[in-house]
Amino acid sequence: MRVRVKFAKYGPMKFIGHLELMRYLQSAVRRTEIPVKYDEGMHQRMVMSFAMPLGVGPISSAEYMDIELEAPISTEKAMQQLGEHMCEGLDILDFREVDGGKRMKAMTIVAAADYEVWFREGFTPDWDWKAGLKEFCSRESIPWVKETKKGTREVDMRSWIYDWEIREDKVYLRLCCSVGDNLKPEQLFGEMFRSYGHELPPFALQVHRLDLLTADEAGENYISLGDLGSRIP
Amino acid sequence: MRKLALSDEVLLSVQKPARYLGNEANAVYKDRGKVDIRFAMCFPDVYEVGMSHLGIQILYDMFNRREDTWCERVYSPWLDLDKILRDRKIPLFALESQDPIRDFDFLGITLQFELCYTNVLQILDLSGIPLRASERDESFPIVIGGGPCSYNPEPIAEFFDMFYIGEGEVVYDQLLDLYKAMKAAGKSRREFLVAAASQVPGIYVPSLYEVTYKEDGTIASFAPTVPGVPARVVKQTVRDLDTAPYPLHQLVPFIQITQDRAVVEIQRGCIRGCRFCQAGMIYRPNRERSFERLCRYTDALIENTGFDNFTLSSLSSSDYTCIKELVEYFVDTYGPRGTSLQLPSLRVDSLSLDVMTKLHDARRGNLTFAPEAGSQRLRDVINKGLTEEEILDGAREAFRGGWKKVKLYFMLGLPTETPEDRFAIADLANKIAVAYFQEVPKEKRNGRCDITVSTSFFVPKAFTPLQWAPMYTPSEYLSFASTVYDGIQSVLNRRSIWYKYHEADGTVLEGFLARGDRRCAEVILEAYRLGAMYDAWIETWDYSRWLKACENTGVDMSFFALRERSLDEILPWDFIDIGVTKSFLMREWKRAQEAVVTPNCREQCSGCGAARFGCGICKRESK
Ligand code: SF4
Ligand code: SF4
Repeated sequence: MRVRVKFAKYGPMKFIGHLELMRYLQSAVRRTEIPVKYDEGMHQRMVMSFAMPLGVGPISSAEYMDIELEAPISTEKAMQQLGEHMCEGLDILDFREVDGGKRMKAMTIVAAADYEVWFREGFTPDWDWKAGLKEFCSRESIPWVKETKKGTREVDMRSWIYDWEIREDKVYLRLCCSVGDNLKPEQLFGEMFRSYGHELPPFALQVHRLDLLTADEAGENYISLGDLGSRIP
Repeated sequence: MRKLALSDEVLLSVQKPARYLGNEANAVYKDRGKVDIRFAMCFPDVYEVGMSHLGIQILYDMFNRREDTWCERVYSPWLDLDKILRDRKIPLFALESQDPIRDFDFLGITLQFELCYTNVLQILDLSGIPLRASERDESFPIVIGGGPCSYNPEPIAEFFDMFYIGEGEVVYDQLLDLYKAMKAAGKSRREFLVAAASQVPGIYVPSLYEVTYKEDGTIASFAPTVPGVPARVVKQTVRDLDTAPYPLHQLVPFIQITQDRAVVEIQRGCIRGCRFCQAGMIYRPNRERSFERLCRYTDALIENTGFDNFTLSSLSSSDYTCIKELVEYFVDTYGPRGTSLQLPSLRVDSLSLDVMTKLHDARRGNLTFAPEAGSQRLRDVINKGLTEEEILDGAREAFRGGWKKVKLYFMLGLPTETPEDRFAIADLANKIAVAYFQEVPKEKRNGRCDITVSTSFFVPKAFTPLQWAPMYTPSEYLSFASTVYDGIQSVLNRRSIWYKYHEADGTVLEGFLARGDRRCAEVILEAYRLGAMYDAWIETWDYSRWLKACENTGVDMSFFALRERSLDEILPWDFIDIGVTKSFLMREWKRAQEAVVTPNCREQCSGCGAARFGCGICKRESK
């Protein structure tokens, strides 16, 4: 039985990398009575996967972790037990049974991410970045050389910007976010800055991931990963 | 939410920001306003090393059981953050509350090895606490030292307000109660120090003692200057480990640390009296925790930490009476869940091979022997009761059981050591290789066996029978190592043998700090001023700073490091009473020179003096 755990990561936890977070959650799950499944290998690892690693720096209101259970446990009980073992900056938000199909893991179906982005204190640019962003996102196409693990790849960044809006001093973004194609807010801002002859200083942006989404069957609408599946009675 | 002491920008620009956040599972948070005593517990090395230390977890747990006390942790900031803190004048802070250390009531520093002394200064300096205790006014925390190096606290005495000599579980409550009462009564720092030194056993306040020196540089006298302060400080010993507090909610770090697992201390002290071994003497007598108690602890720790990795800790695991039962209990109960068990410091014999087989099934890791000396004669000198036959038998059995990697540890520069003893190291390694070829038939061999010989240089430590022994210069040490190398090159199976040896100048510094007295403090301060820090790390180790520091302060390092002491000399640590008597140590030093072995505590009591604590193995022997 596959379960999707939704949690928020913020505060001191934003400095904790993905590997460390995984270690933390594994030991936290082991401290509970949740009947989690282990793989058959020599080291018997917990069967656990994440929709999309967040990395160090951003905060998030909706991270998703898939685990497999040996036996069912109610959403309420599981959330209460897990909640007791969360440190400051991690909140368990949901615990749902989801489609256990091979190609239905969160990491496989994730297609887009919603973000809110702002400049950290002391990093607000001294030029009209809002006008810049408006113009940048209104372009027909944005040729971009994406650096990947295997080398570089030429893509049109514009096609990965699904939605955007300037909300006072913050920017809302819906960006392509999947295993294969992925655009991070920092990359968008980096390119935008560069096209105006500026350099985005390191640590300038605070990124807040609002949610992760999957495309509906028609591929037209996006739905939150958190809306899939059902709570366990 | 807690406000972090460091900005996002700082935390995002240093390596492993998790070192500075606290927030680990089982970390303790309290309300600042509701406690009377704020205690910062420090391990003066980087987080990953400090977090691996059991002693701190014991005290952290014990102090936090008190409602009136909040104990937090602090470790040495790594070099990247160290620089930022200095440049931006950010005071060093405790992990839990993120409050500056300077505002605490106590700063406790555990001293596990001598090469951390410059890091002690780093901690004080970054906290904004004057390095010398004499320069601290009422507003600063009481800086208290403990741990193995406090058995010769003299080289760093000037930096500490007090030392706790002994095992932490015993009188800390008494000390904290006294502090609380005196603080409430508005007493001064000095009044507290005098009261602690005179009323709380095991507390040593260096500023209340005066040392005078003879013309030849040795100590003429060492005595308290204040009435009521004891001339001798008696080490505090836990009599019954079963009733002593033990941390069952151990911290679970985010990042991988050196010892990344839950720890169960199965016993304290060691029945063997290896003459070079300080732990073997200062933790006498050997005391065991009961099997039943350990099973309960194991269960609770697994439940509370969620660790899938466990270690049974002790100085010599094989000597624990119920070791076999304990391993069986663990393997039966937790093996099916994939929880693994580490069992360090096993002697290689059929019992432990049996145990090891249970532990790692198919995996055959390294087999470790620590004969410490190559020849039987020299092993007798150091009282390492491990014979060549035992080593070879153990190796043969292990080879038959499928092991093929062997690690051998030796020390060089031992008293009475000759080139023959060094050649004997190569000889022994060769015999082990021969045993492999004899035991394992050709068709079953999967290549050669793999023997690693590691040598370190012997450093005489306080309260060991070899505390009077001489040391050598770095170049002499290197020549000892090259004899071993030549020896290995000359044996038949040289291609199965790898040789590694330790840094020599670090050894001499360690010797200097281990047997130094109060006059060494200037050198440590000067070395720190010249940039010395993290001296145990290759990245930062620079001997030239220390040589320069000696030169600048006019202190002769060789006087403290190299010189053989005469038996009538007053040693800087003589004022500490560890239970084991000086006359026993002298007897052992004499027997060492005659290469006569002394039986272990289980075979026969040798009347070392520790029986006076009335516990552990001594009690069993007298029954
Ligand atoms: S066996 Fe020897 S070296 Fe090991 S702890 Fe005991 S006394 Fe020390
Ligand atoms: S008094 Fe005897 S039994 Fe006790 S520690 Fe000393 S030698 Fe061992």
